[in-house]
Amino acid sequence: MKHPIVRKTCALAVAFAVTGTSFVPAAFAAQPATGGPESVQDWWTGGQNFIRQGKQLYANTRRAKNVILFIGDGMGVSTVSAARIFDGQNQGKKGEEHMLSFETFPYVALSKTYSWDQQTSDSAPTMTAMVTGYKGREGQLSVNHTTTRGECDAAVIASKSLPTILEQAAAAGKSTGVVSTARITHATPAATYAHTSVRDWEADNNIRAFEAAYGLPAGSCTVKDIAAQLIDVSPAVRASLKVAMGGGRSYFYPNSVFDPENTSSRGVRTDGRHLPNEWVSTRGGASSAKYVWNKADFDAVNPASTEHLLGLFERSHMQYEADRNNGPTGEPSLTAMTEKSIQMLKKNSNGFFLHVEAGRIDHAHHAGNAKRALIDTVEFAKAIKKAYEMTDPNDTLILVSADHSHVFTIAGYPARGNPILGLVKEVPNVDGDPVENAVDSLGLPYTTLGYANGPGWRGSLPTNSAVRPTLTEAQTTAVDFLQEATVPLGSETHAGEDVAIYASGPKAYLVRGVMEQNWIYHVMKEAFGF
Amino acid sequence: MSKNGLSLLLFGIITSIVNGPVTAHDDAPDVPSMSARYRLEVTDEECRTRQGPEWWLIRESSRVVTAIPALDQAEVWTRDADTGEVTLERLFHAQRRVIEYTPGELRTRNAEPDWHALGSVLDPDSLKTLEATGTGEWRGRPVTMYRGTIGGERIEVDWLSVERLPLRVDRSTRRSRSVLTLLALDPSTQRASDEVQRVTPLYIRLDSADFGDMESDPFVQAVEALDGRNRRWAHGGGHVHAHAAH
Repeated sequence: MKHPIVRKTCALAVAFAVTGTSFVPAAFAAQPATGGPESVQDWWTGGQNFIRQGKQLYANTRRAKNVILFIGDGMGVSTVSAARIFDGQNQGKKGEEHMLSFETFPYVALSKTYSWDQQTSDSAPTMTAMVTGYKGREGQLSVNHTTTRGECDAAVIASKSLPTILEQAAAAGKSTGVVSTARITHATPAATYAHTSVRDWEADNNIRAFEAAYGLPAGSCTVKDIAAQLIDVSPAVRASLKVAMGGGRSYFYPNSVFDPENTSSRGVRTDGRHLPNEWVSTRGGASSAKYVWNKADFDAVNPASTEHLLGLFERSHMQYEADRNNGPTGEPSLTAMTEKSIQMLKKNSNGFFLHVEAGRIDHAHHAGNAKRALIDTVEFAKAIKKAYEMTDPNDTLILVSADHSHVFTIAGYPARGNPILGLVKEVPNVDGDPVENAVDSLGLPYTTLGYANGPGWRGSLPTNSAVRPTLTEAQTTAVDFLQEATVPLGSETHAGEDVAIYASGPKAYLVRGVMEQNWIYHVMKEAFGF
Repeated sequence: MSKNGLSLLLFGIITSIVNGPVTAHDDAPDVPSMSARYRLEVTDEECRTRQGPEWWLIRESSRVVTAIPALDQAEVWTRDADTGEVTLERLFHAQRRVIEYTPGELRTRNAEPDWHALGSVLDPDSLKTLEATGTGEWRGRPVTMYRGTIGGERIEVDWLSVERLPLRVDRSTRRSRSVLTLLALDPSTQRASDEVQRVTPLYIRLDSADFGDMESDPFVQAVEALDGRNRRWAHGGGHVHAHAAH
């Protein structure tokens, strides 16, 4: 005790190791267990590059010859972030630093997705907003918000109808196209060409059932079903609509005709109309118009000699990308459909409008199945990359957005490069320590990705004392794994927060700040110069 | 949509029998076409016995139909001869609606069935875990008796080995007992099929993938609530196993 200061110094010498010119506790001197490949300088260089690129930006005030509207159905910001990491990790990167193709677009804004009557919307009014410039009502397609629910008088619907950007592009002599991995009669693609008070009236049998259910005389509803509207469009749209591809084949076949692929099933139409045949016969016949339903026939279509192409690749929605059969009897990818569409539409020197939807991101989220949602999002990004490469950014406005978000979260404090579909593993408190699963207050591991509600709920029943499952990495990274959900619902739900808009090309600079969703239409209209 | 407790119980028991782990069974023999009628009796821990409605099974080489005629509901499972992929249609005659489940949707819901278990009420492989205790006959058909315990339940199965169907399944715990009994067997499937598959063009057909966009539809709400109570769809891994019947 005579020299307490000296003795204290000796004790410190034991506990500290010398690292360069500084003292570091030995317990903190080991190499970090996690971290990225970047040097210190890389962070600075990246930031400076971003500034330099920004300074080179100029407002492209030209009119757009072409406009392509990409919609990831249900692709909220968390889906984009998770897909970015997922795609990057599949390329051998840590993931977080990766960028999906459209994330490099120069202009980004937020879109407020509420509709006239919904705080959290469905796809019908949201797409109506984006393609007409007006917010609408739940479940209604491209009619104004004064339209009565269930209105089925064709004259009334006509009086309430809002012209869409596709119809206006057609009137301006441009070619048009609609592509989706959902049914081509589903809300998002349908809003570009159809006008109806009920999004579910995709085939005439649904309208007849509506009449029966509400005691209306059979045939008293005069509004056409959505599939019929795709065929019976105005003369201008008929001439303009060069491409329509997606799923939904059964809505186009009469119930007397067996499906060409699923031969135990038939069409659902009660009016006897065979709409694929009508597509061909009303658009110049087989010499210029084609109908295909599988990948082999799709691949055989020569864009140079085909004027009108209808592709219906499934009875209902197309397959998830994770499940898609890429063989001759299967179906094309979203990228392949986008490529073929642009090849056909580019033949018009007046330009074109094309809508492409990744429709099944939404369905996978509703199922609480993140992996399928992310795989479809990555495929969506590939399709956008293909479109960007096939067009000139000086004359083609490309907009990428979502109709709404989902209650999909990226949670916890996973370490850099932690598998996005895996269990949360945090940065160890002490460098050199192994990375271990983070655990909840019950001592159980949990996943990074999860849902606020949906079918992934695994809570206890009175007969079972378990509150949460004991998950393993192998389980959570499997394609069929359903992420845990907080609230049990049969289907996971949409979410009400804003979604992003990414823009490139003429008038893309108008995409800025926080926007109402219907302003997207106004950007496209301004770009076209209508 | 019935909320009858016993019906739910019946549904839960049947699905818990049928929804075994997915196994290929490629080497399983072809089974004869057959229509069968069953009844379920459940006895609770207070010795109260309740009898459920008849449950029908219609089995063909590429199609298995299960139905509860009293509820006017049926399920039609169809297997594609070329791809082996299975689709499901659930028929709700009272509501004049059909719900379709594509192969991809069944995969997403972790609900791809074991085809042979589906057509035999229970997984024939599960019999291997039981002890064969004797033989007999029922209306001239050979019967093998199995006894044992699976998952804490005492199981007795009287098995029609040619038809590959149970004559009786008796499952009991300390708290409850359920007995599924074959009432009738018919090599013809036509009459039963006609009765349970009477779908008209005016039925509304729904793709189950669209349920997420139909949360305000009363029919969809009822189906999802029913499925939720029955824990109809299993989870992919980490499932807290529970069946409504227990």
